[in-house]
Amino acid sequence: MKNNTPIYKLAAIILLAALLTGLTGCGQTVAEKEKVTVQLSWFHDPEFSGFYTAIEKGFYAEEGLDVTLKAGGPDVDPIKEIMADQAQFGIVPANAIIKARSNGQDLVAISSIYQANPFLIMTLKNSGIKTPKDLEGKRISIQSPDNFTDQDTLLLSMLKRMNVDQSTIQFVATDEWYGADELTKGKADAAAAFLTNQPVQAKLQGVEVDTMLYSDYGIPFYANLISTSGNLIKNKPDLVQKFVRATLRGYQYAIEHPEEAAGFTHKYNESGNTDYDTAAIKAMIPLIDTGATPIGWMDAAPWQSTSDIMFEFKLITNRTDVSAAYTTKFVEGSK
Amino acid sequence: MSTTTSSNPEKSSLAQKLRRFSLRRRSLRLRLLVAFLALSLIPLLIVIVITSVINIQSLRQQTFNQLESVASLKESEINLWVNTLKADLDQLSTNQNSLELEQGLLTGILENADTAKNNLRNQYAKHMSTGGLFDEIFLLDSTGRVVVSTDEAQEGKIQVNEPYFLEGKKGEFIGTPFYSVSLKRYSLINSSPVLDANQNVIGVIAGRASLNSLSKIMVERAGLGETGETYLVGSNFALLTASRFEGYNPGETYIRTEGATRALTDKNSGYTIYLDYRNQSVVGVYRWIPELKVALLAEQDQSEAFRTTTVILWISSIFTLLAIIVGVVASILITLSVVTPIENLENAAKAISEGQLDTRVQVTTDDEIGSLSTVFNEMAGQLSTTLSTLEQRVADRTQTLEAQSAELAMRSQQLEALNKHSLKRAQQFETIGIVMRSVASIKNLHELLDQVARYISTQFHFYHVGIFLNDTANEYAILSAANSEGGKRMLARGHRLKIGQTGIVGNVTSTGQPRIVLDTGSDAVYFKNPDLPETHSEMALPLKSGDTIIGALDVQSTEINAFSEEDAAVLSILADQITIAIENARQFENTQKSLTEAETIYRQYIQQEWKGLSKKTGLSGFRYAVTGSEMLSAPVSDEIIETTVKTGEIYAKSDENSSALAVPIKLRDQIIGVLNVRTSGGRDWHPNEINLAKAVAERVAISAENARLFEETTGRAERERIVADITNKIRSTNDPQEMLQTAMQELQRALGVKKVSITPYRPTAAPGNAEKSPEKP
Repeated sequence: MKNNTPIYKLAAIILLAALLTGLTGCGQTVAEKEKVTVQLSWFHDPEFSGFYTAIEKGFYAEEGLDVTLKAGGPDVDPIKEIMADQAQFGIVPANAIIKARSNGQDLVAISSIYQANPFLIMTLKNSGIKTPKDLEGKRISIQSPDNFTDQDTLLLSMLKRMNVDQSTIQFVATDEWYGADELTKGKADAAAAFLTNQPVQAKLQGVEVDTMLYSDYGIPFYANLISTSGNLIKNKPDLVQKFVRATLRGYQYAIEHPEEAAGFTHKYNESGNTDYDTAAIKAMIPLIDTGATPIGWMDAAPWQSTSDIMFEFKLITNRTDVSAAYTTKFVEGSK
Repeated sequence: MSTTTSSNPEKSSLAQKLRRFSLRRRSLRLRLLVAFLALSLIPLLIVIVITSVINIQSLRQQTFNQLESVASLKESEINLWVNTLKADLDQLSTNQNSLELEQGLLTGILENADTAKNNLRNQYAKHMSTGGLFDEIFLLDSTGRVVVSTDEAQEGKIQVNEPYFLEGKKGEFIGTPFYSVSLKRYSLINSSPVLDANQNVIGVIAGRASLNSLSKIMVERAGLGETGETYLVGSNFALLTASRFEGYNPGETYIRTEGATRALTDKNSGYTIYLDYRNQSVVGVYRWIPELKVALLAEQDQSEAFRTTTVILWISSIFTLLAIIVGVVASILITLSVVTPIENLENAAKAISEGQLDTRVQVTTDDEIGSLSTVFNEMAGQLSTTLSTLEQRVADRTQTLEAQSAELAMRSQQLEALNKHSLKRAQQFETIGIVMRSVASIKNLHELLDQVARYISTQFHFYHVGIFLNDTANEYAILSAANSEGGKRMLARGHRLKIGQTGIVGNVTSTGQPRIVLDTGSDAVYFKNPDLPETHSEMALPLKSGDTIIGALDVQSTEINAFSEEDAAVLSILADQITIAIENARQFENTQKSLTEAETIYRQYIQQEWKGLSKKTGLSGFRYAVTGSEMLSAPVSDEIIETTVKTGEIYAKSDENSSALAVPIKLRDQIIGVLNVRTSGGRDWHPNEINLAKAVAERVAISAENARLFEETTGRAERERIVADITNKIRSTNDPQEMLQTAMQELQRALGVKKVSITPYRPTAAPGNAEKSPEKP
């Protein structure tokens, strides 16, 4: 026994050390998780279901990220949040990025959630409005008729592009955001809308609507780009890569499991309707995954078009190098 | 004896035979059975397994082949569809009528553009209606704007960034299926450039084919049974064509099955079994279609595809089972037919070895075992004869041995009895020793007898022991000691028996011969004593001192036949010893009595002498006081002295005025006086003082006695001298008269009396008178 005692002691010490190491190890993994904040472009919505899914399924955690989502709204400017380092990532449309860059702000798009511009003009089925020209002499409800937002600018660009005489058009501020309410209540003849919001809700309401996508009429702007600062890309490329990889994984999972993703969405937007959430996610599947490009992808052509149109319509005064406004290397690195 | 093993094959049923395949170890039977089973079943099973495997393999192969052929058919249909689309577009782009219109519209040289558009639209529509596969044919200008489309709603749209426009400007473009957000469906667009007369690209002509037509091809289910289907999956794993199952819509459903993955990821074609998108196990063939960059899958539920296989497996299983049963039964029967005769032989041999020599085997066959049985029976017969003579001799010898053995046993028993007897005697003698040692020191006769009775009872285990002693007149034997309850009662009653008359004790005390009485026959009359009802044997032994019978020792037992003559002899020794002890005790008692008498006489003498002395001298005592000593003439009557005389003890008394101490003066325990010390004033007598007084009193007693004895001796000497003088004077004469005269004279002088007379003896006269008493002073 006496001879064994030191061995027991040694074993006890080793065991204790192992336990401590294990504990500190655990502590470290928790501590190592990098805090990441994302400024969304709008209130919590199925549009962001990929983020919710990546959080709930632990895809961010697997990458060692601790992601916080900040809801947006009409008064929140994600670019400001990113530049002030209040958020590492934000959801921004392509025209806003190009404008910011022409103002000297180093903002870079790293992935596009939707492959096509989801902004559109929604009309009732029998309104007789089929092409942009038909909008002449009509009332169109938009976000802010007095002080055009980026979103409103898209519509104006489309109208301009289609040679629609804007002077004949009466812009009204949107009162009813849900479904086709604005149209059925006669507040406007046409309404600026978002493909996965109002048309989906209108279908749930049982109202038949026609849609006129801006992208079909020369405004192929990417609408919801995951963006970050050039600094972060330069200083923490690994973090950016991890974030993009986990986010795209979240979106892939969401479109393949719409019901489950709708459940995750409901956790963030508890006032939301799960039927709508599910329908919206199903509706956005082709926007995210067209089959022609990998999800999250950005093509050069829409970027160039965006820049050209903005310069043409004097939305920017100087043409910047559009290839610096976005990078696909993180999408490629996510495969 | 009829043999137990004589086999009866006619009677033994199959059930009986099977029962013999019991758990008993039967190595030969087991080995034969195993061998037969192995020989019959192993090849059978091998054949069945091999054929089944081959069958299943070929059936599976057949199933795969069928699916493969369906897949090939579909693939060629898809290729045909793709080629048709190509040919369609070629035909369109080379149509001279259209081309003129197209060129005119695109270059803007036409005056009436709307009419031209209508015409072109009509031409496109005509083309579509005459067997073309396109849903929509449209013309784009160099800016990507849709100039003319069979779907008017599409006109005016700008598709500048679409691949079919960008690629179509460069040359013929074959598109892959993609989802059109504006059309809300999957479609495929082929395009080719529109050239002007100078071969400059002025626009793009494109044809859109809905995948619905492809779906129609795919859902055609010829040769796919109940559950089979074929479908296309895009590179993004999305389902492109309709599923035959509900709830799986193209554009919403992703197919991440093993088949789809192999085709899309590895760009492979092949077949395997896997879980499909419904989680059903399917047999699937997958093809990579490079033209469309899609996967073609042809699947059929495994349960249906292998139904034939399952049936074949069932059938072959049933046949296998039947074959096994037949094989087992046949093996058992064959084994039994071989083993049973051998077992009969074995059992017969066993029976013979157990001594049933008349056992024989029944010969039922004429094969090798049959002839072996015959030889066995012959051998058994010979063995039987040989052994029967041998048995007789063994029996004789056994008898002799048995007789000798019996005698030896008897001797042994006798020796044992003797040994037991000796042991008993030794024990009895030892017991006698114990009894005698125990009573040796007892001098009191009564106690002695009592102890003897008790010891004999406890040591020899007699329930009653009584000792009778003859009375002095030798008339009765008196019960003097007994141990039992009944005996004690008799003792208290003073039980006695007339010597020579009553009971066996009476008999023994008169004859001096031991007597044993047993509770049988005529002697039973002796056992009527109500105090000793349990007695069934009695023995009385005389107690003899020399030739004198002094009593009897009477022992009684509850056993019927407790005493033998030998017991009587042994206990006689005890009786003798008891007699000696009784004699000793009697002698001791007599001596003790004499001594006591002598002592009493002496005490009386001393008392008498001292009383006499006091009277004679008139001295009552002495008193010493400070004034000196004085003699007391009258006895002192005092409470203290009287108390001391009465009690014979030292008496001390003190009060405030005086203290007194009285010590008796004792001579041979007789009080002859009292030493009385008095003092004035109260004081306690110290023990030393008392002891001193006591010692003085003792000395006084001895000195006084010595003085008295001296005086007495002196007096006696004087008397002797006077007698001698008188005698001398009497002898000096011979005349009797003178003699008497002299004697009287001398006596008168010696005694100082006035008259002495001598009177002749007359017997009738009253003895003595005052003159004759010498004590008379």
